[in-house]
Amino acid sequence: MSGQYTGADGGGGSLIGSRMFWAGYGAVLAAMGSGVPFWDWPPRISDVVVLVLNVAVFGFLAQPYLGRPVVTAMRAYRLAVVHRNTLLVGLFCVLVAVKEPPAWAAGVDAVLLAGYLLLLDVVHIPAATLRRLLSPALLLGVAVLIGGSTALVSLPASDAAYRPILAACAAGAALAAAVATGFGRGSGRRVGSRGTGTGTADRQDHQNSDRAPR
Amino acid sequence: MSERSSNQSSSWSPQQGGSQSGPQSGSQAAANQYAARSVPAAKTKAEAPLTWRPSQRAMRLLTAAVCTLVPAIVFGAWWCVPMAAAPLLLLAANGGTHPRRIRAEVDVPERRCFEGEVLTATIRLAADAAAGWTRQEYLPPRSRDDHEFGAGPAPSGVRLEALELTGALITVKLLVPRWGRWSLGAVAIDVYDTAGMRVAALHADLGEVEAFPVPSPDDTVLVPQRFPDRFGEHSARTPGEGVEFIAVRPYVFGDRQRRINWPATTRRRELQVNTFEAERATEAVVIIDALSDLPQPPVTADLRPRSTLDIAVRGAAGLAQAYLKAHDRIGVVTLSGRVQWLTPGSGNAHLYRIAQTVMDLRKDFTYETGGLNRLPTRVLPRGALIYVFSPLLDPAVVEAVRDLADRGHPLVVIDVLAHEPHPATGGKPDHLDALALRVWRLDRRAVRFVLGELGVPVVTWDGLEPLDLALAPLLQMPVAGRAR
Repeated sequence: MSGQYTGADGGGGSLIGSRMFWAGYGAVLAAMGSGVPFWDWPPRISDVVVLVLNVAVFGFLAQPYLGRPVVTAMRAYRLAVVHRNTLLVGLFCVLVAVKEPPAWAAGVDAVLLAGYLLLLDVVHIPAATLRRLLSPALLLGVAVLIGGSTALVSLPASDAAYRPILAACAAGAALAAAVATGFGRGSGRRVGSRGTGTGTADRQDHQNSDRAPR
Repeated sequence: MSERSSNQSSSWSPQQGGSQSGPQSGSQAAANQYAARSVPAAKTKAEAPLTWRPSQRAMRLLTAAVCTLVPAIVFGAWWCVPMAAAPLLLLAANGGTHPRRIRAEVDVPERRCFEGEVLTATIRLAADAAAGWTRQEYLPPRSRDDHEFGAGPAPSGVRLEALELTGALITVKLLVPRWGRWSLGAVAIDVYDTAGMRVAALHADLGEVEAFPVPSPDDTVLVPQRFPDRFGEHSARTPGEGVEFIAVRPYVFGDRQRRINWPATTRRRELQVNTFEAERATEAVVIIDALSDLPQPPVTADLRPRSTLDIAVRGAAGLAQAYLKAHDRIGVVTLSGRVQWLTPGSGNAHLYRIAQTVMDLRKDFTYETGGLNRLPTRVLPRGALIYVFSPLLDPAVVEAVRDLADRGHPLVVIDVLAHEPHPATGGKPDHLDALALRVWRLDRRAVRFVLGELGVPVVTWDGLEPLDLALAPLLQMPVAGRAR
């Protein structure tokens, strides 16, 4: 798709507007996903090759996609370009899940993933909406949750006794998230909506605004 | 047309506006004046059922949650649990709301303009509930309505100048660099819910625009040797009721007393009266050859797209303007795949009719045989002066000129191909290029020889200098047609 696109500023001239920054972030994700900090030195050639490959792929996939989420052709390459950020997130999670890291590395992985998701939000979402969505309380909650879960998995007895508890906690969190996501938007689907009238009083500015529904 | 006819005082050209500073200022005023009187503000509403789908943010968070929870729960990869914390919390933290109906109201105040002007379109968004934010993208007409032109750039060249967002109002500024009836493209608007988890797409079509050609400067009006019987402003070489003195003759019963030439009467000792030339209006027809259209090299002084067809249409508009200013009648015939015509007429509104006749020339891909033989008689009145704007590349045009000359019309051919072709290889011309160029020159010389044999004057005009200069050699005497 060609044409000018307006919306969020995409980072502008700041650090998150730099391609090198995102390539570097992708390289860090690749390094952590490949387990570089806990390699046996000297590393094997195969590990190095995999790392180089991961860095190249992650460096490309980490670049934020700023266009409209539409594809001009249903080709795998086009789909990968448009959904590259989603692809990176999935690849990183799979890469981490394949090989068991130390507890501290699991925490670092979680921080890196959360940081990447939040930075993408900064790029994509206009500033006014971003301030509401990513409130300090939410960011604190993310930090506490990551810290707590990392501490939980780093307990000495977590190998055996706490594993069912961890799994139960994760399942419960997923269920809670699903319930909150599914039923938390009841106000947007109210019955008896006034609909779109023809009068000007019926019009509501929804451009970059976060007003409560009337 | 009645509305246009009532708009007799509206000017067309920047030259009439009195400003010579730039070709756009006066023409814009004229177009605005015309559009304000005759065209209501065009508003279209885009209201289609909205389909909300997960946004890329939602897909990222869901992917992260699934890709961490599945290994943790199913395969016991407990170290993935901390990674699931952030996406789950971000998913659950904000309950997004979104409107059920959104309306995009497109408003293009002016659907008519002159080439090279900037149009402003506004899109007003209205919804029945709050949404998060919108992002919009301009979709040029290349891949939409102008698909018949293939994958290349659309000939309209409609270019986005600005896409601004102010509250619920999207302002689109588009430059229309070339005359014609073109699609303006569309604006795709993505509306997100308040949590950024769902998105709906709107498509606001901006509709079409009619861009009129800017007439080339021209004040020259050639006249034929024989005029039709219409009152006008040109002095015919026949006795009549004009103001140009011809001679004196003896008085006959019925002559007006004020026409008596007393000095001559005194000398000849019988009543003598003055005779004057008749004042007649001329009729002209402009034939535009659209059978071939060659791009011409750009010039720094004129940023508009240049091709032989552009030059021909601008020249025809300038010529029509000059004739209509002199209260003459002028018509137009276009030679493309399909022959179109407009019978000669007069008045300012006729200029707009002429412009609208040539508006879709570039979209005509048909081919019908028959040429000028299919024209009604009234389109080419007897004795009408005919101008042919052509690059003289298609043999059909030469045949048409021969046909017109045989009918006895006074003819002027204006060759709008003023530049020789360059070798397409882009490299240094070799002997084959030189040979091809020589053959091309000989071919054109042969065409001109044929036209010369027919007694048809041919002038060359590159579209940069005023048309007056090209037509100046023909001002020496009235243009005569062949005796039938």
